Amino acid sequence: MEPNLATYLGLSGILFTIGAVGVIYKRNAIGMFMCIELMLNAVNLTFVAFARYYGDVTGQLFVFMVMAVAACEAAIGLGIFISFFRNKISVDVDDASILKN
Amino acid sequence: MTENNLLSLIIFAPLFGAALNWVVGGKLKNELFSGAVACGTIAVSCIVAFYIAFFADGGAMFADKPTLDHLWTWIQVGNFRADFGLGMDHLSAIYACFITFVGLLIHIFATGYMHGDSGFYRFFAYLNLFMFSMLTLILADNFLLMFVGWEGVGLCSYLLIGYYIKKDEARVAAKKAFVANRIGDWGVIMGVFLLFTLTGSISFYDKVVDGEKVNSALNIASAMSADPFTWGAIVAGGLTSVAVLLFIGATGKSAQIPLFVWLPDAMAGPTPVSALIHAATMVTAGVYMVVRCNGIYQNAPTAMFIVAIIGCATAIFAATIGLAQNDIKKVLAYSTVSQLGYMFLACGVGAFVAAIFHVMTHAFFKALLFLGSGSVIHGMHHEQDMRKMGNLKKYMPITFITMMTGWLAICGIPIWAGFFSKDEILYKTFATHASASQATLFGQPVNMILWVFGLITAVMTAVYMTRMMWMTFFGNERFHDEADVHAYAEHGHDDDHVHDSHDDDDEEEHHHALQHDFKPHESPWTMTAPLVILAVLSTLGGLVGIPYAMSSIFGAGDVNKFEHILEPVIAKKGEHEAEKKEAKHFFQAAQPAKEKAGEHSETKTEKAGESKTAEHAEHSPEEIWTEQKLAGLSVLLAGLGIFIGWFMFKDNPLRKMPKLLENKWYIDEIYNKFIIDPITNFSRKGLWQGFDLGVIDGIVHGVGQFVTAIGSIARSFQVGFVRSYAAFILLGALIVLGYFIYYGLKLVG
Amino acid sequence: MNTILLQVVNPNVNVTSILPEVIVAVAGTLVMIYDCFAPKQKIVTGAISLVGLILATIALFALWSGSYDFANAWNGMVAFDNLRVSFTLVMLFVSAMTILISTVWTEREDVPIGEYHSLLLFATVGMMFMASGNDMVILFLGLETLSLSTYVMAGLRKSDLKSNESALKYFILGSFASAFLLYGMALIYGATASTNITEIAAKIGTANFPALLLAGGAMLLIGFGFKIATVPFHVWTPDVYEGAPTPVTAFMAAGPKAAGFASFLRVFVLGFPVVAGATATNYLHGSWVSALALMAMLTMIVGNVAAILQNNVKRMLAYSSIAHAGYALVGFVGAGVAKTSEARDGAINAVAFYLLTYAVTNLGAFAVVTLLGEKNDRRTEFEDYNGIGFKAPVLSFTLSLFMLSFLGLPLTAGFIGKILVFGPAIQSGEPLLTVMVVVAVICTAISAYYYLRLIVVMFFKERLTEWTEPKIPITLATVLIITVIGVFGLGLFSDRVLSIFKTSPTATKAQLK
Repeated sequence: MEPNLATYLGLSGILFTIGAVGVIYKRNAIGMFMCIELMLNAVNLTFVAFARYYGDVTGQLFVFMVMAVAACEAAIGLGIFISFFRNKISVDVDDASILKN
Repeated sequence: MTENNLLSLIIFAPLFGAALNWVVGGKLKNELFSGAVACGTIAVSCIVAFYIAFFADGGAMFADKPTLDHLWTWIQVGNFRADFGLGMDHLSAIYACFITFVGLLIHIFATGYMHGDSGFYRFFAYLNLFMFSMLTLILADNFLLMFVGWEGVGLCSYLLIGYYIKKDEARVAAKKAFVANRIGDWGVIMGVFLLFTLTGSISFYDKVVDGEKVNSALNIASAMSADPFTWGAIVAGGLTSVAVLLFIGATGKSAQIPLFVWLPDAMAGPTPVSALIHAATMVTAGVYMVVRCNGIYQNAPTAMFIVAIIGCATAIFAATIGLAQNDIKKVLAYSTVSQLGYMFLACGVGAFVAAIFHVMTHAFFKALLFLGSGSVIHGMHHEQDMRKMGNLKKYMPITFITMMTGWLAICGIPIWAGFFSKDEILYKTFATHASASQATLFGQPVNMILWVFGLITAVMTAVYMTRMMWMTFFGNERFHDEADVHAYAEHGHDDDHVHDSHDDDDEEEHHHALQHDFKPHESPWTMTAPLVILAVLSTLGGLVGIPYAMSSIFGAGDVNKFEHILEPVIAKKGEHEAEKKEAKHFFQAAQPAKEKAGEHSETKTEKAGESKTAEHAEHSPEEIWTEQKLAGLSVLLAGLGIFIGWFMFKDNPLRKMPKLLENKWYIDEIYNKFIIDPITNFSRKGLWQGFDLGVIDGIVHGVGQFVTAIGSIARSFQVGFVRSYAAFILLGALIVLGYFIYYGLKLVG
Repeated sequence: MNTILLQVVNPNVNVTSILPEVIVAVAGTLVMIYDCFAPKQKIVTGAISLVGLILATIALFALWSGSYDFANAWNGMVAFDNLRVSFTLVMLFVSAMTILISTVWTEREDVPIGEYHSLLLFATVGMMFMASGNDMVILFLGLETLSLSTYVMAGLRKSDLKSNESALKYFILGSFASAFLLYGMALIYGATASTNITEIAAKIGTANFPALLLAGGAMLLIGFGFKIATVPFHVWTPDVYEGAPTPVTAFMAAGPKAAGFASFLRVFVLGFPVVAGATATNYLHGSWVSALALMAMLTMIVGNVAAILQNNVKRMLAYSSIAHAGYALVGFVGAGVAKTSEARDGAINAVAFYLLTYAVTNLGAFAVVTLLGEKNDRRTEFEDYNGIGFKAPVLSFTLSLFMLSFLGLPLTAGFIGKILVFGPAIQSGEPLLTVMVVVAVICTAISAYYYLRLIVVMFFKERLTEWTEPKIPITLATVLIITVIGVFGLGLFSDRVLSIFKTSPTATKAQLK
């Protein structure tokens, strides 16, 4: 079967859902972040699929931006996790629960 | 349209005084300075108010058009426009004059009363700030600026009730007042919004600003066709809804059922505050607003009906409670609530002029009574319980005589101010053509029932006022017997009040002895002079209203041709002030005015209840005769009330005093057992505790608990775990997506 | 067949049109460079930042009063309209005030000040692009620049667990929401084959995949809803605001919220208009307006009632910020249903004005909270405010004033703000919107409880422990003076400010059609 636009959109939808569920499911901060990355990549797939469908370069450019931003996010995210780890010796996000109500 | 920039001086002088007292007075802590600043700025306001009202450009009180002072454009977005502009027409001229004048007297009184208080400057800063807000309220030329004043007086009242910050009672009372007022404010702001959507304006007057014509929302509203007289009209979003919403605001500010609960508690504030804010000025703001909006109310018969019913119910309800109170200020507080009920009754039956007239006379005599009670309390070392007073006439002759005039005024004895205004209200209730006369109850028109209740209230007013006077000024000197050590210690020190005599406060003999040397020193002219002036006003103030039914009509006829329906109501007030000067003019003008009134009722202006009065006053002698008969009846009833009060309390102001009980007549026992006890018990246990504390407070607490419950639900989402938050967001996302997809499915199918 | 056609266009590089953004970015870079050479300095970077912000403001005014033609600047990626100018002014103000407020904190806790200032400036650049971007790419980049900087700022108190937790939560949930936002952008792009807001608005009536419009709109709503903290996407707000250092909280509550509103308004109000005859587009319009109206009501209710139960002042202010986002949404929805472009611009200005009043009040309140908070914000419970009323009159009276402005007492800024945002909704006359305004007014009445509670606590409660009034440093005094003047100035002379907001260069009007 020749993959068409719907196939790509379906795949990206599934990937996005997996990512979103994963964020809730994972307790490890790094794991959560990976799931968020998965969501972003699902979006990238959508962009690329549409860019190809329309023969328009804008979508592809957008993907470059998203990748750059994702890289920055990774850097900052790791920094935040490390500073949390230093104080708590844990990257389990459920340990971060002083602030509530 | 007359412009007069002096108008802003009326409101800004007290503001300046407040700022000066706060900034400089706080540093100096000099009573002379603070007092002089406060009284001086109010005096400036007062002089300017009288000048503009009577002299500038022929006097705003007589002019055809309001005197305006446009300061700047406050908000202008699209067609929504609110100016920071002041306007003085006939109605606000009356208000401005009596507020500044009574306010000045009370300020002077307060310099004596608050002498020695550590927060002297703070007190006067608040008081001046209050005057600023109150004057803004009545001089504003649009609803939004009026609301500024409306909120401002609420805030100042909050600050002043809670002035004795160390008293728990004061703090609680302050909070209660603020909450009740906020509920009312909700009504006002919604009403104004709704009015804006209906009329496209929030201005009171037709005016031209920056070359742009601004229409009066009130004129537009009164030119609309009247809503039907049905309950459905309340929620129909028309003028009736506006009127009802505004009236909710008025019930909050003017202490009507169901929001009256705060006013009696508000007596925890210093007595001058009670006199100024909670008797003379602020609490009548609701009446002002209703009268100001009479064009709306006259097109909203359902709202008029509600106003009349609520007013009457409040009047009689508060009067029954007043019968059973022992705290002198509580008696006056319930009396105020009751009198405010009268004013709303008047508004509800279309007698707007009578309402304003009663506002004015009430301001005189109630301020007098409160200041008198303040003098008593001052003399009694902050003892407010009447059971511990008695025979004070011997020690405080000036206070006694002045309060006697206030008592005569409130009871409704002819010549004294209260008679004319109260009688006017009762007569108008009897003779009204407003919606209340269209509905029937037990086969009688409702207005007749209201009238009967009004008469009963009048009797009860006389009874409880007599009781209060008797317990305070006559009979035995109970402070002598009762002055118990702890009772005084409690009251004397709590208020931060420093007296010359603080050393021997606790000693009963000294305390009593102090009454003799205390009075000459501690009731200085600053306290008695305002009392005397107010006593004169309470006696003579009503005289401006004597020929009211007849003479003022003609003046109204003159002004009427230039103005809308609203104006006669106000114009008339202005005219009868003028009537002394131009008495002749009225008789000359009688003939044309008669015709004019006739024309108007033919066309459509019969809504203006005044031109109606004009007609029967002139046209039908039998109606005048009815009015005279009714006046006679109310005098009789007032006399009866005083007699009952005198008869019941003359020898037995309190039952627990065995010495007095021995001397009393046997018939007193019967009265006590079969009439007084049931009534007092009913009013204390049933109405006060059962209804006031039980039902009303219950509702307030219930709402609080409901809100708290929702709050806990909202809070329970915040479990503190990131993953739960993510799940929550995801859930929300799914709901939003579902909502949009639901629309999408419509698209497909 | 599968060749991608590269559209060759002459790029219209027009630096002038983004001069304010460029100035702030340059200032941020300068701060960073200077910090490398003189890490011990205390005031230089702050001064550079302030100068940069002031220059940017001047540049903004110069651009707007001049007769420039930016219709096609950056090939239409940069907007030039009253939405941009009004919101950018709010943001510049917020940043400048934040720098002044922060001095207390940075000195007290020895914060790496250069880093902090450069982060703040970059966040400001991000915010400004969120207001000026007319292309989803720009909006996304602006949003991420802002978010990444604020994640770090929230966690800047590195040794404090609360601060760590705040940053962690903000980061995870923020990126999570960004993914939704991005997905929405992708779907809208898929439906319209464009990322330019103006083009989207033009093409939306003839979209290729109408169903994707609805899905995309929903996703965008979620993403932006998170940024401005509407219910049900508000859950992060209280925790993050409580844990972050107080000056950062002040900034987050005022700045990013305004930026979120700017982008949100641009995408939805300007990008998703009603198009006659296009069913899908009108469904999209109807659904986002009604969804936002419902969310606004929920936001106001939840924000206000939850605030009642708080015992921590910062947390109370966090819930209050949620509630205020709800009030601003009322104006947003009003802009959405506006019939004419004048009414729409008026409503947009009203939202901007509301956020300005909120920013002024909020920054003032947080300035006092910062000063009273002592080291590590230890003293932020309600009981820490017991009885300070007459001991620290300046602080307590200004704080009371801010509470009254939050409450919307007449004569204060908050009152005018509320009147303005409620106006368009009530004028539309639609039942749902009328209900929304009724809810808003009731919620305002409820909010009296907790705002006044702070005043009651300060003035009427006894203080049991020893307490001395902290010295008010000059920077904080400046903030207090500016905010107090602002509260009264906006309350009394709103007309002047609105006339600035209304200024819209002629070039833009053509572009916005």
